Amino acid sequence: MTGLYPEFRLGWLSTYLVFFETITGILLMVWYTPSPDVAYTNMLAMLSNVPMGQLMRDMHRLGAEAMVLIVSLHMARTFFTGSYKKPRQFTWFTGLLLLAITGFLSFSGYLLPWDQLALWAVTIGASMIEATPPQIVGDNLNLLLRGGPDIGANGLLRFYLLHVLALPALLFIFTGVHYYKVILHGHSLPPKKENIGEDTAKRVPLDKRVYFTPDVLTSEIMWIAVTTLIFVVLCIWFYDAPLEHHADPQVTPLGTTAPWYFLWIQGALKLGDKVFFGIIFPTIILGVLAVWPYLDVTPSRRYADRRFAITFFLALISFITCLSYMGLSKFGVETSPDTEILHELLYPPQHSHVGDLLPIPYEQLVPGMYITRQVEGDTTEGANIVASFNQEIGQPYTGLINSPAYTTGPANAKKTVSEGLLDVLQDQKLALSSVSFKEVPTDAPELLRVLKIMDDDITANSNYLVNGWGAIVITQNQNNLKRADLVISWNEVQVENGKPKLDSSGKPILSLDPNGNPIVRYKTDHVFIHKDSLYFGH
Amino acid sequence: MFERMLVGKIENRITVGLISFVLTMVFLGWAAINEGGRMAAFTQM
Repeated sequence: MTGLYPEFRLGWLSTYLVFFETITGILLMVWYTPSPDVAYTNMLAMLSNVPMGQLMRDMHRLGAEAMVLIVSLHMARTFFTGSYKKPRQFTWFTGLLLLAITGFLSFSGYLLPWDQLALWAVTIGASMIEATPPQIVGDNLNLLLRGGPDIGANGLLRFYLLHVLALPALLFIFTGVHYYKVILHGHSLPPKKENIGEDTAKRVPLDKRVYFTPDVLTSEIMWIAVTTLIFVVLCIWFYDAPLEHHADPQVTPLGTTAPWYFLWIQGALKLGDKVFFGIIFPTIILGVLAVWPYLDVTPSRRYADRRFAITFFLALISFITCLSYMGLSKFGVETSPDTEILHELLYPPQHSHVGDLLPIPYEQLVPGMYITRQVEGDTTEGANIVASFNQEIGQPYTGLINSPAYTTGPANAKKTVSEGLLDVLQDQKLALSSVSFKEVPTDAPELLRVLKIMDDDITANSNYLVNGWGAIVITQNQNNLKRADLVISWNEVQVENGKPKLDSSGKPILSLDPNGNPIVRYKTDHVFIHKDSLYFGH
Repeated sequence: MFERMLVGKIENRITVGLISFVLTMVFLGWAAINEGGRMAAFTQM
C-alpha cells in the first residue's frame, strides 16, 4: 500500500459499517415480521422480551446514521484531495452510487418500526417520488413503491424487501466494484507527495511502502475495535433509537420532517415547484457530481491549482447545509400560535417528547373548568380572580363572537363571551350546560403547572393572541376515563404573511367587525386520558 | 491534522485495539447481566 493517512481511513470505516449493519440487521430480522399488524408489537417485544434486543436495535440505528455521515465524509475527502482524477474517475462514480444506496438503505429502514415517525417521514419521502415527471411515471413509481395509494401492508413489505434484499445486494455488488478499482489503481497519494500530472501510487519505492500485513491490517483491526467500543458505550448509556407511538395514518404530527440526510431536499421543496425542486434539482446535483471527474480534467491534484473545484465543493456544502436548515419544520412553515400552543400541550409521545398535559397524574385531573387568569395574578387571590373573570365573560358582548352558532346563526343581542365558549365546547360534543370557572384545587399542583405553561405561551404570543386567555376543561362521563378540553380565546388581529400587522407604535392592529368592535375567536382541542395511561414527562 | 490518530507504532495499535476489544466485551457483559432487570422494568412500565 502507498501509505497510511488518517483521512484515508474513512473508506475502511464505511466498509466496516456495512458489515456492522449486516450483522446487527440479521439479529433484528430474527424478531421482526413486516406486517402492520405485528411490526410495532415486534418492536415492543424486542425492548421487553429479547435479551440485548434494545442494544442491537440502538446499534443498528446509530450505525445507519453514522454510515451515511462517514460515507459522505469519505466522499468529501476524495473530492478535496482530487483523488477522483484520472485514472480513478470510475471509482468516484461507484462511490457516489454507494452514497446514494446508503441513503436509500437508511431511508427504507425508517418505515420498518411502523411508528408515527416511520410512517410520516417515509410518506414525505415517497411523495417526492410521486412528483417524478411525467405524471404517469410518477404515479406508477409511487404505486410501485407504496403498493397502494397510501403506505400500508404492501408498502411495508416492499420497504422491508428493499431494505434487506434489493439494496444490500446492490450495495455489496458496488462495494465489490469499488474495492476492485481501489486495489487496481492503489490508494492515491496525498496531493503534495506526488508530482503534478503523475499517478505514482503504484510506483512508491519498496522501502517507503506500507505493507498490508502487518501494518494496514493492525490499523484496520484497531479501528474496528475502537469504533465498536464507541458504539457500544453510546448505545448502552447515551443513545436510544427513537420509537414513537403506533403509526396512525389519520393523525399527522405537527412538524414532521424527512430524515436529516434528506432535509436538504425538503428545504429545496419549500423554494417552489415540487417537480423541479424535489426531483430535477437533486438529480442535477448528483449528475454534476457523477460527471465531475470527466469535466475536471486538469492534471494537478494540488489545492492551489484547484481553486475553482474546491470553491465549488465548499459552496455546495454550504448550500446543502442552508437547504437542510430550511428543511426543518420551524423554517418557512407558519402555524398560528394558537395551534402551536395546543399542540405543545396535547401531542402524543414523539421525538422523545410528550405534550405537557398528558403526564399530569390521573387523580390531579380534577373535573372542572380552569382559567389561565388564575396564574397571572397574586397566587393567594386565585378564587377572587376566577370569580371576577366569570363575571367579566358573563357580560353581554356587542362585537362579533366567532363561535359556530354565532357565525352561522342569527345575531344575538344577548350573547356573551361565556356563551360563545359554551357553544364552542358543545360543538366538540362536550355535554356542558353552563360555563363556570373555579380555582385549581391545592392538591393538583401539576394541573396548575400546565395552566401556567399555557399562560406563559399565550403571553409570549401576545402580539397575535391579543387579550388572550386559555382554559382547561376536565370532564368525566365514564369510569376511569377523563376528557381534557383546551381552549384559547383572543381578539383577532390583522395578519400579513403569517405575522400580525403592527401600527406605528408597534402594537398589533385588531380586526374589527362591521360595527367596529374586536372579534372574539376560540381555538379548541381535546384528549381522552385513561386511568391506566402512562405518560412520562421530560 | 489527524496524524496522531494513526497510532504510528504497531505495538501501540495492538494495545489500543486490545484494550478497546476487552472494554467492549466488559460493557457488553455488563449490559447482558442487567438485561433481566431492564426487560422486567420495561414490562412493568
